[in-house]
Amino acid sequence: MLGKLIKYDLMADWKKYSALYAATLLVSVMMFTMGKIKESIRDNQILKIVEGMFGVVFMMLIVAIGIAVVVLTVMRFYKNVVRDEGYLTHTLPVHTWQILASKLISAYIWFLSAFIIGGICIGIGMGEPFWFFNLFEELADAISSASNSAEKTFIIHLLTIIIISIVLFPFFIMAHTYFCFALGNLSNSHKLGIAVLAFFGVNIAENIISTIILAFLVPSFIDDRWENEMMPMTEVFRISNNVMLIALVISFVISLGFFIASERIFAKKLNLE
Amino acid sequence: MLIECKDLNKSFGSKQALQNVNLNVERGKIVGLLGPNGSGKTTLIKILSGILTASSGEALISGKPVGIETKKIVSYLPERTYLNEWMSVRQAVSFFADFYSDFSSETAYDMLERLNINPAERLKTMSKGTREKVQLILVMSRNAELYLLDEPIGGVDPAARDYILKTILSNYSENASVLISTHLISDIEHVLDDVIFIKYGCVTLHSTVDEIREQHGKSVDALFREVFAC
Repeated sequence: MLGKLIKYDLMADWKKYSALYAATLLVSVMMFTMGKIKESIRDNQILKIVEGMFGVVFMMLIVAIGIAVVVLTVMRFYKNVVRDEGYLTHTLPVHTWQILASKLISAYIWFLSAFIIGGICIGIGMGEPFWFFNLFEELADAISSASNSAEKTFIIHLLTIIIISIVLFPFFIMAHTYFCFALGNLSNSHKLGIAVLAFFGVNIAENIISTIILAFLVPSFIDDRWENEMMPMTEVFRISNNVMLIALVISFVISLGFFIASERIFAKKLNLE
Repeated sequence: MLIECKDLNKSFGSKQALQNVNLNVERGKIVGLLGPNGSGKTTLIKILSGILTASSGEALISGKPVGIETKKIVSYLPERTYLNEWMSVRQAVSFFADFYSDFSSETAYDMLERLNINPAERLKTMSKGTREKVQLILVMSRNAELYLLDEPIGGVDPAARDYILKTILSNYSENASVLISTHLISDIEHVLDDVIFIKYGCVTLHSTVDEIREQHGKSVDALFREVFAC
């Protein structure tokens, strides 16, 4: 059943994503072609203006991909789980966790596709379609050329945390969204307004909790030696890594809690308008 | 017993939508759930379909509490359009066939043809009335044990009403029951076996149509107008 739910979730939005990806690819190819033409015809003011215009449109489309993937996945959840379509979704013979997992997995597929298409488009626009692979080479060079083992360890840890953060980013967003809509669902009126308010409230509360836990687990996080520049660099590396790692773990635990709480609320306290 | 409600209560804040509802519905019946606006008809149907959770009490369908097992045997038609608008009618048929093992695509396509609905047409481009017909066709194309129909004929023209009522009558088996909530009592009275009157969240009458005619000497519609006179 989960596979079927994912199939219909992907079918719901694939046309919108395809149109956006196709437009971005087209503009990036135009950017690339413009760059080649400019190489052969130098000092042409009109070409420069046209290239500038394409550049602006291209950047807007790249930003639009990022925004669209978040907006469309959130809208899909809202329409299909909380609004009228929820009357069908919640009367299907499936478990609530399957409904939420389906939305999460399809969101992951769209985030991943946006990441890949966006990366390819940026590469084409810059005239380096495989810049992404070059990036990995450059990172490997940076690690091998690190001056000492502490610096090397710091860079490896930092990269690992960044990669894990990117991988978990859709989960963080979706778990927060589900939880806020679940809280809105508990109200008998103004469900969307309450969900939006909950979003801000939940984020503020999460930031406060994270800061308190960080201050407790990594006391040097609030050490005034940071300001006095008395701290050796190895210590700075160590603390930075710890802070980022703990912040990541806190976000993951909180998001997992939100996901489970959302599942419980929709399963046990469903209250569609 | 197909439906059993035991001391069922539902409140929205301070408003009590259902109050100690005790109800039993047997198999093989077409039951009219009748009451004025805000009487609790939709709330009761939503609880039985799993869209709402009761504040207290118990609702059982075929002896099971409302949940994934009852959703397999309950076919629910809400009073609003709930189909995914991006779908074509054909995709909606496939959707139902994918999720409900008791769904008959053949029956659905047959009914679509009779009502001149093009399976290739998108739901988004259809009128509200046509979308409601598609929904009813999908719901009635299931070989379910319980059909919960919330205002199934409210949004369609009188000509289509007859067809819809015929569809309801011809598509449910003797092992199944149909619970219909509606205001259009005179239109459906002739198909009903039982009626349930609900007022301010309380069941005030549960009787067969024949008993009403014998005991009160009037039609269900006339009795309804008398009981719920403003």
